[in-house]
Amino acid sequence: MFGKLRLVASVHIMRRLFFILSFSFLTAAFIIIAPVSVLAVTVGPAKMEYRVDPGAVVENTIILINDSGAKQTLWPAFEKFTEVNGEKKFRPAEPTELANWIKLPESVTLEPAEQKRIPFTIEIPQKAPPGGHFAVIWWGTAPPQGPGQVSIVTRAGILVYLQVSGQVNESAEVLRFSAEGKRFFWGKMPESFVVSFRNSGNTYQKPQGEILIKNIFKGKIVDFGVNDVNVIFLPDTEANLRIAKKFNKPPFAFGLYKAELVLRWGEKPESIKKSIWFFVFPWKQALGGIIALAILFFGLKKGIRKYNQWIIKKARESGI
Amino acid sequence: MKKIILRLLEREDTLTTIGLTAVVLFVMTSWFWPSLEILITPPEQVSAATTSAVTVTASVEATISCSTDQSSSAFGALTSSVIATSTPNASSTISCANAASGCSLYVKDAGNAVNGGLATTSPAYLIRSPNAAGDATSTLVAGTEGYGIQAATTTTGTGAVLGVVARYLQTGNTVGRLDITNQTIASTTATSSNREVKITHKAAISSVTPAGSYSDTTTYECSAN
Repeated sequence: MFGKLRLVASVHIMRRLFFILSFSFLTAAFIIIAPVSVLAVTVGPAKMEYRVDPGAVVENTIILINDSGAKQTLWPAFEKFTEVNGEKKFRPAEPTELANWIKLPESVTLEPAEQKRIPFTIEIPQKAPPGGHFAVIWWGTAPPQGPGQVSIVTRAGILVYLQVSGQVNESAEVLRFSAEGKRFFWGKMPESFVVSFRNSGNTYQKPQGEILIKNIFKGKIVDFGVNDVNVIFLPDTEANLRIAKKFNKPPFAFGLYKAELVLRWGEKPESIKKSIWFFVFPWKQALGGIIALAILFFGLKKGIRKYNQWIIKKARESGI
Repeated sequence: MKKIILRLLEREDTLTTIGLTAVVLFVMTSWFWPSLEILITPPEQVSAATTSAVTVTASVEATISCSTDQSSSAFGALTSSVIATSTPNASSTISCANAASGCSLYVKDAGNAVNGGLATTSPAYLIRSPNAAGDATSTLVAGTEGYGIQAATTTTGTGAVLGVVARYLQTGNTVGRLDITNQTIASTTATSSNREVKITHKAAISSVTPAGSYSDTTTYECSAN
């Protein structure tokens, strides 16, 4: 009797324990899995480019999305940007710079998951210096006033590239063009090239073009698009463009080939051509071919010898 | 005829000639091969019958998303005998949709408006990041002033992966310097979605660090490359 009661009690306790454990596990899992986004903002477009005259007014809209689960007010902030060693540096702008020509509402309040198109204007002064002007429009929350010693602010930025017409200097040059690895001999068709570009003008440049691989009979083998991802070079900057192609079926190549780079940039598309030569020796295939030829050669030689002996033997037998 | 063929086959130089001819043919064919391939490849487009055409256009805008799961983090009371880690750790998530050149996550802090660090106004004092010398990185030691962050990526998200820069890719008690101007924490080279970086804040004080209420504001910024 007591044994049965003890068993029932144990089952009951185990059930409760199981329930408590399951509940705790689910609660913990929820806490771990549930995202706790304090600030989540999406802005678009990521980049804007304008070519304008002094005194012009640009009118457009930007997208602002509240990705967080709560109503939030977002404030815009403006800075200029430059590039140092390929890294963007955002700095407070002078009153005469692009960051201060942009007009946006002082703040925007969005419901959870709400998306709004926010109109803005850029008023270019009559005396705006010709050339490139660069600014970032940040959207973020004000610094929180919390108990923590480290307050965290998050913001997303839209990059603005603006060129004012006038005495615009579009000089730029290709410093280096080579196959990645700088080799002359290749075991297969090279899949990536490097173009080192320098913008020495006073405006931004987006060099684009193509690399054509030709054989010695000038027959086109393959082409690569250059800067398909729209990398922008600020004035007085240089950087490497990596041009790569993943071949689904690599073209068979053997011999001497020429890679021709054609690059264009600026309003009056200047184009520059550079070429390099390289030699492709598909040693794996060649080795296979040599082994096959050797087997064929020695096999044939041996076979012929045996055949000759057989013919001679037959001839002798028949008394020729 | 039979005898002529037999004599020819008996000569080894005949076989050498056959071999060399095969090699020359192989080399010449390989030069022309790609051209031949182009000739025999069927055209990708064929002319269609004349019908009324409807042109559908749509534009996809590149967008940048940035989020952080915390608005503040606290060290509590700092003592000279321990290296403190603030809680909770912050997690920043970045997405760059249709931004083919990728995007970057930056950090900057308020410090004392001259240098990065944990600052107090009364008395005016700064626990400079990451150490008194303002090096790029520093291994914190209990009893010596220092403050900075570590960053690490997670497997969360899709698309191009985030690469954390050397300064912040630290473990143990080594931290990277926080500056009052933006520094890249991590970046991608192509489009990505919800890629995450976990940020750990660490600090240490010395026995002569003035008592006070120290604070800092770190700003995480996302933009296209």
